[in-house]
Amino acid sequence: MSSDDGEALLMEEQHPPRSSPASPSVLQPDPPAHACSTPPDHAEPRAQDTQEPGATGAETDSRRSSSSRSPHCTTTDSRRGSSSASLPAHIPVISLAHSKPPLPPLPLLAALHPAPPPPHGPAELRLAQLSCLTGSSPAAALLPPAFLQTHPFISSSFLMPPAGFGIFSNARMKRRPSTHFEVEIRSDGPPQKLARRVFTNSRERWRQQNVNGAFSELRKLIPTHPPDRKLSKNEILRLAMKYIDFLEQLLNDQSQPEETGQHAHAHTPSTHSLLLLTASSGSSCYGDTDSEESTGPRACSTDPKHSGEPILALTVSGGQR
Amino acid sequence: MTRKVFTNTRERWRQHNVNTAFAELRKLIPTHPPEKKLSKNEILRLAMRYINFLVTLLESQGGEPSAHSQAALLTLLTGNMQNLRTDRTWTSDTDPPSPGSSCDSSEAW
Repeated sequence: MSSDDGEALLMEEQHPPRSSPASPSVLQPDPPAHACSTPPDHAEPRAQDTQEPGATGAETDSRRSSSSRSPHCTTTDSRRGSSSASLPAHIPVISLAHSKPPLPPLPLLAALHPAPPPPHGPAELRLAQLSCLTGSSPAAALLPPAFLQTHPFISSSFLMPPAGFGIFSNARMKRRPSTHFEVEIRSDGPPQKLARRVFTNSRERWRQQNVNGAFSELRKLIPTHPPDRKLSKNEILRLAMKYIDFLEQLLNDQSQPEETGQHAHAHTPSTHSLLLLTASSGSSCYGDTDSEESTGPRACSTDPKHSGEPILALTVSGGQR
Repeated sequence: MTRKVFTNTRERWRQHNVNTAFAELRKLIPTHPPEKKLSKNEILRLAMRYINFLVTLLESQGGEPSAHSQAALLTLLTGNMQNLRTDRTWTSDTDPPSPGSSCDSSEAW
């Protein structure tokens, strides 16, 4: 939802700089028309936007506009201008209609890959556009620098927070914000909101990493046939349940032969130790110290080397036994 | 469009499955107020602790039954592997495993 809004916003904002290299043939009529009055980078897209709805259907409309501007084109434009001037009046209309549809995807691309170098890709188009622009007015030459000036700011602002927070050093974590982050950043202006969002995002990422770490630690406790078998989260949870079930049952089976009739005996000692276990659990649920409790993947859990509270629980339960 | 809807639905279903598993695992973990709300992180960490606790308790109890328990563990393991191989979705498995025979005793804690 929000990313869609952001993209829409971004499209609007990045429309001026990016649209011009994309559609030289569209620009042809315009730069000469605006060359004397206003800088073209703001004027052109607006003109395109207004033309856009009627571009496909209303052929006569665009023909009128192209015919009205055709004298300028012949004087300033290098290739296509001359070709459009040599051709009858309805041919440039067709080229206008064709060059318009690729307009919207390009700003979107710019939004997704925020810091590309100034467009090198379509060399011919760019050449045509440059010749067109420089021929028309010196103000048009400011267009690529303006494009460059906006982008380093964006890229630095969205690359800074992960580097500044420094929690997530691996590349997997860095790659993800590069696509979503900028869109969000561009969507709201105030820096306070921005900083808060950065903080919220990083905290959420940290939380998620914590949960994933717990998953991988729990997975180490679960015996599987290839001990390093990959398990999904769902599988880890279900197998943990089974394992707990199994252990409880085993405990019951072991305690029953000793004293067959007494149910209470199986539960009373563990009650106290479990209380101790839960009492100590709250503090270190987020700590990194828990990772030392599990000693690597084990196929059989007969040789656990526990350090910390579980041993405490064991000694308490053993003493009460 | 329909593909997106399908992907969303499947993802929601998958997430629902995981959350159900969390809820079931939480039932197995004994806490002092039995219906205390636990976060996912807490559920996972407490499940680890509980497993460790049960394992150590079993070890403290068993001298010679350990061989027996190893055999039982092997059967559990093979059962797990068969489960993983046959139905990875666990949908058919959701009902049986969670409230085990000894679970009611843990709820009493």
